[in-house]
Amino acid sequence: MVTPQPMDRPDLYIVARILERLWREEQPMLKTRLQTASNINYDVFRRYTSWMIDKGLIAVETSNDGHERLRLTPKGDEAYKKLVQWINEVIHKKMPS
Amino acid sequence: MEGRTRIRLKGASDLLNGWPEKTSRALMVIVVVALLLGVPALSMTVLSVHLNRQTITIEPGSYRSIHFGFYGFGEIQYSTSGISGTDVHEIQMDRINFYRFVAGQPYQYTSYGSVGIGGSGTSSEAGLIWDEYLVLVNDGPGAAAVEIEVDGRAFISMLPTAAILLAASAAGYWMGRQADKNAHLDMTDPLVMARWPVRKKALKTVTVLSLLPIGIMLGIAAVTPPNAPMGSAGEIYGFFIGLFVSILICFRLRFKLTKDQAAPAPLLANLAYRLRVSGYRVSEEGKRLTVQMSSTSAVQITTRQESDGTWVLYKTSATPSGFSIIIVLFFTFLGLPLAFALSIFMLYRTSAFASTRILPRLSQLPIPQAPGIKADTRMMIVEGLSEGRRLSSEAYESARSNYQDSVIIIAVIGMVLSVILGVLAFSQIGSGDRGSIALAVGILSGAAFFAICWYLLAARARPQIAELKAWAAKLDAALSREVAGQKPPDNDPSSFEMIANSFIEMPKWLKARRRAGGFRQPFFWLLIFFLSYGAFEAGFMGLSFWVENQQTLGAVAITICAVLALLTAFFYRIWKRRLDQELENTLSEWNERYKVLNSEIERLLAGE
Repeated sequence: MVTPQPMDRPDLYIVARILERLWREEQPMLKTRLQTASNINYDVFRRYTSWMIDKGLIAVETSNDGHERLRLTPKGDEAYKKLVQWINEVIHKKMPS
Repeated sequence: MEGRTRIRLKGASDLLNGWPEKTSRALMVIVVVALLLGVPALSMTVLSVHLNRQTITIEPGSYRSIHFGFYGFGEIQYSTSGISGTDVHEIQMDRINFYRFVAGQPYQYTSYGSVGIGGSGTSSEAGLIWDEYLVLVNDGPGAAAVEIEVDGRAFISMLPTAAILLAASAAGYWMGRQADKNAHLDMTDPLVMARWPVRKKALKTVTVLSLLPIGIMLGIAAVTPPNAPMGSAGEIYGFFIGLFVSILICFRLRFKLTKDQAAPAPLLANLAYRLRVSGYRVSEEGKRLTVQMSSTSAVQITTRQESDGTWVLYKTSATPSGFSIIIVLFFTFLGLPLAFALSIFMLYRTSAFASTRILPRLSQLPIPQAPGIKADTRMMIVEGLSEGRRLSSEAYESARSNYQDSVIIIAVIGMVLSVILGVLAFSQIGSGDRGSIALAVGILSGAAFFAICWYLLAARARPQIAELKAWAAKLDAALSREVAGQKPPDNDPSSFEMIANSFIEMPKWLKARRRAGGFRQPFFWLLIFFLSYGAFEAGFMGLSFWVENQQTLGAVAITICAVLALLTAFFYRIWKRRLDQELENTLSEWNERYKVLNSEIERLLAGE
């Protein structure tokens, strides 16, 4: 399997989209399902998930059926919350804290 | 054997389900139809006065009076002729002066005449007629016989209008109670029980406020000296002053809703969240929430902290459009009763909203949250989407209103152009059918101007309106989905993207709102409106005088027109500069916030 190319500057929207999809799920998601739900092409998806795993935002779990599933880590949960909080505060005319 | 159906009684919390509620359209239609048909019918039957031709005898030192209590528009016609005896004085006066006359005190009359033997006369008046008395006085030494015929007809009166509005309020109250019965509400639930005192208090307030203008009118008339210059017109002015005071009171009264044990800040924050979740537009300004109920009505919610809890208070308010309607009706003077009716309706509607929509939402405080951070995040997403939805909807409404205002202005300019070109054509053409030609020139030029300008305006404004409408609809759908706990479809943007994109769109929305800035600075808007209206009137009069060869008067009117036009331009510049400055400040603040947000997000993504 080819290792995805590292990223210099991730796109906030794609990161947030993946985080939000995982945040909405109670259970870890199949990679293919997450890719479809996030509406991202496979190469981009691989690069982003790899980057997010490196940053500790998401984690891989191998289930009993041998499929790899992705889940949100507490750090990812906190990061998504922070993103929403910042943008929410700015919309409500406060500086991000 | 058929078993009995067990019906579960619903508590106040069950009222929370569902998306924004609509007012009873059926009741509104019934009230409008009742006003349109009932007011003239009742005025012409109950309040009209008819006396067939008959002879009446008035004893010496005595009088006979006929009362016309129209309180609105109508006409009075009567004829008298002296048959025998001494001269009889015919005096018309208002109620207060009639009481003074009866008490033997100095009084003032609106008209005076006398009928001698063999003499006769008729009198006719039409227009705004309040409370008028026709008094026939015989102060001669012997009895006088007078033949009299009276036809007093009221067309539109305030009294049946007030009666219908009060009946509608009572019907609304009754319908609410019936709806509660049909909804199988648990009447022992303290919050369900708490609703009716709120509504009853509002109904009592509506009744007092409906009677207040008449009370103020009578009070003013009673204290006005008999030799005051306005005469009976003072009574009419008194009524309108009463209406004005009552309208002010409508929007100043603050009612207690309930007492809660929570501190003011979390109480308001939780209430705002609950209302937003239900799809209401809520704006927070300091320690005050403003909730929009419809395109015209709003309610302000505040708190007052006391040693044993926090009072939740509510006050009637209106949206900028609602206030504009009231102010315009107010300045037309004769539209003041309509402004009053609208204010009273808003007050009752606010109490209904407070009792049925706000009260149940206060019962669920504090917001139940799942353990962990998920509930917090969802709450913030809902808040972000709700704020975006509010701003995009306001921008859409402002843009649409601006477009409609522009169409009206174009239509008015088209009409003015039509008249000017028609008059010019009429004065320049010498042929016999110049009237038809001038009419055709006027109509065609006005219509062509209107069509071309409207087309150009629509081509420019409609795409922006459509875009704003689409944004409002998208955010509305995203908010509904988020509130229902549903996931967005695979191809749809995430809620975060919706909030982030709406944040990027906000400068456009702020600009759209600024263009309809009149609603946010009604003083300047009204000043400009009335100055320009005055300029138009003066100019039109000036032209009329000029055409009629009254050059001096025409010059004076045109000079006044020019002065008013200059003042209009001056105030328009001040107004525009203020709005531009306000927009510039907002945008620079927005840019500052955007920069800080970007750097924070970049730091987060870089893992710092």
